[in-house]
Amino acid sequence: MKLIETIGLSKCYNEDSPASHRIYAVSDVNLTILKGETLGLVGESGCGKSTLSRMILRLEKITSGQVLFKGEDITGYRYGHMRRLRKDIQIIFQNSGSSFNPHFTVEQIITEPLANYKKMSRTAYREQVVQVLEKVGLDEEYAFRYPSQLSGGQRQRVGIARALVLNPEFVVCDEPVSSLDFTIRGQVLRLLGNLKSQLGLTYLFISHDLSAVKRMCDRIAVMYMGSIVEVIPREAVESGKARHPYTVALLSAALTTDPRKRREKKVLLKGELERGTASDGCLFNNRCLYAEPVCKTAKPALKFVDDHHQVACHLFRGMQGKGCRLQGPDPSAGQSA
Amino acid sequence: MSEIKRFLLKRLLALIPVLLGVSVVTFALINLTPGDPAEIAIRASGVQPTSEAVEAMRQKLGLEGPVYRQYIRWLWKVIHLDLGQSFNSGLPVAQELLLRFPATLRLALCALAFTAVIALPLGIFAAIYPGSPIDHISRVCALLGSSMPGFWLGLLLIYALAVRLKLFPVVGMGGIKHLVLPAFTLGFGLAAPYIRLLKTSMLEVLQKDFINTARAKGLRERLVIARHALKNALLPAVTLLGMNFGGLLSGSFIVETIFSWPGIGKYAVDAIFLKDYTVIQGYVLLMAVIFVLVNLLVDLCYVFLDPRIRLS
Repeated sequence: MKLIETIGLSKCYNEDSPASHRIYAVSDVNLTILKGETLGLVGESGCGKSTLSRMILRLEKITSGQVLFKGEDITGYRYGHMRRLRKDIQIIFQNSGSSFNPHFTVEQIITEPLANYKKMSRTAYREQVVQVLEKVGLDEEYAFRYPSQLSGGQRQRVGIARALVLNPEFVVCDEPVSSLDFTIRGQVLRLLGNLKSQLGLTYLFISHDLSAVKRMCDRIAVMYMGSIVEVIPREAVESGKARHPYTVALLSAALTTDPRKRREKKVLLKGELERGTASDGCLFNNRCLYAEPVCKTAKPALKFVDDHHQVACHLFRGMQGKGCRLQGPDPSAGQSA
Repeated sequence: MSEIKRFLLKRLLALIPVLLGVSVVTFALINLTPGDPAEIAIRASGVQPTSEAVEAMRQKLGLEGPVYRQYIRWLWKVIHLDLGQSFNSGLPVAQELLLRFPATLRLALCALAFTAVIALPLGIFAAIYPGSPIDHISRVCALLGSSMPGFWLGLLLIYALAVRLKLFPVVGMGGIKHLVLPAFTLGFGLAAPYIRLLKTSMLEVLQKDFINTARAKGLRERLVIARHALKNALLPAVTLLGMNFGGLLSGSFIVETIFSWPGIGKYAVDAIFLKDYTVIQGYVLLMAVIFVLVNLLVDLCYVFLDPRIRLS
């Protein structure tokens, strides 16, 4: 079942400028999130990951396109109407240091969304708070602390508790571990995984940490300069079936603990990221090592490779994956060339 | 709680060097200005001063001997809670100050009320609806408030509302009606910085991540503003308030003079003209105490308003 669907979703911050000067933070994104899955969203800083997720949550104004929640078009919902949906759609924010009101105790932080939807007695609220804190692995005593008195990992747990206290169906995890140090990351990721299977959640998992994404996600959407360039199942990533040159470059840039693989690393990108260059062709053409003339003139559409795998690249022609001439960092991918 | 007690004790002890410093500086400054208070006191009584009379007056006022002796004598009396007598009226200074302080306090509180009524809505709504009519009104008010001197606004108000329209009495202290014009004059000028401060801090807070969190919680916009934005945006205003309130309590020389308001500001001005040393000293000492106490109060307020700040 499709839980979330976006159709041609775009965000432009300088809408008033003439068409040729408009810069799109997110352009024409068609994405489907199935119930119960975890969809990863990866890409460089500033590629529009957070903007996209905020548009899905309607925390950011949508320039054009539609957002569907359970097949219902919520794009035009007014604030009050959206409010009723918010208990089903939640977000875990990236920066737990600034995403809480410093004047609120943990208990108040978690009680507020509850009180917003359900009238209960004080003790009932308290019980719920304690329960959800327990779920995220925090003792009851933390309820009386202020966010500034917690460590980064504890704060992130409070953020998770806050998002889950309303029993949402869909949770956006906006870089939930990027502000944490490495030892805590594993714990929080494990927690998110456990909660997902316990509560039957659906995640949109945003990250630039590829190892975290590979660990958490069923499918991974790769974003480049506001567009989705590839949507790829995790197994396909692991078996080196990434098709888009950018995805391949991104994967090869991920750190590995295997020294033999480390030696095989090569530069798969040229130049630097250029922002604000509106072009008719593929957005990636100026950095792509395999660019052909057609890449400069026509924008590639997102096409299905197989049931769950989509890619937007002119170089990919064959439907069986044999037409791709790309060299991946993984030797097994290289053989198919 | 013992933490708060220790904090209070420390701050109150710190008052002692502050008061010593302030009194030494005022004592020095008074003695550096030209004019002999003994002579002025004799002239004030309509007698042509002779050198014997002046000398006798000096003895009477305690002005004989070198300045440091005078200071020590004065300090000794102050330690015994005696601020001395006014040269001019012969009444105890402490009594005179206490007599006038309620008038100043009343004016100060009323002016603050006006400031709040003007600044809060203008500052907040200007930030929520930038570019709207209320934003423009707030900008005009902030500009007028900060650029119109109090004496001018006061005179305009007296002319328009008291003399022409006869809505309010012209000067003096009496019922509530007497309070409106001077309090508004003070409050309007004071509101200008608060309008700007509230607007900028509101705009800043509205950009914060936790406002997004509040919206994601599905809170009504009204609650997002009141509970999450406003409470945080008020903090910088509290600091400014501390400083302004101290200033208000020391009496506004200009407004009190224009409206003949019998507060301590006007009393101090009169004392300066008459070179009434003991009054000036007593006044400055009182002001120092008020400033320190108000600032202490503000610091305490902070602790209750912002859990990130700990007493230390």
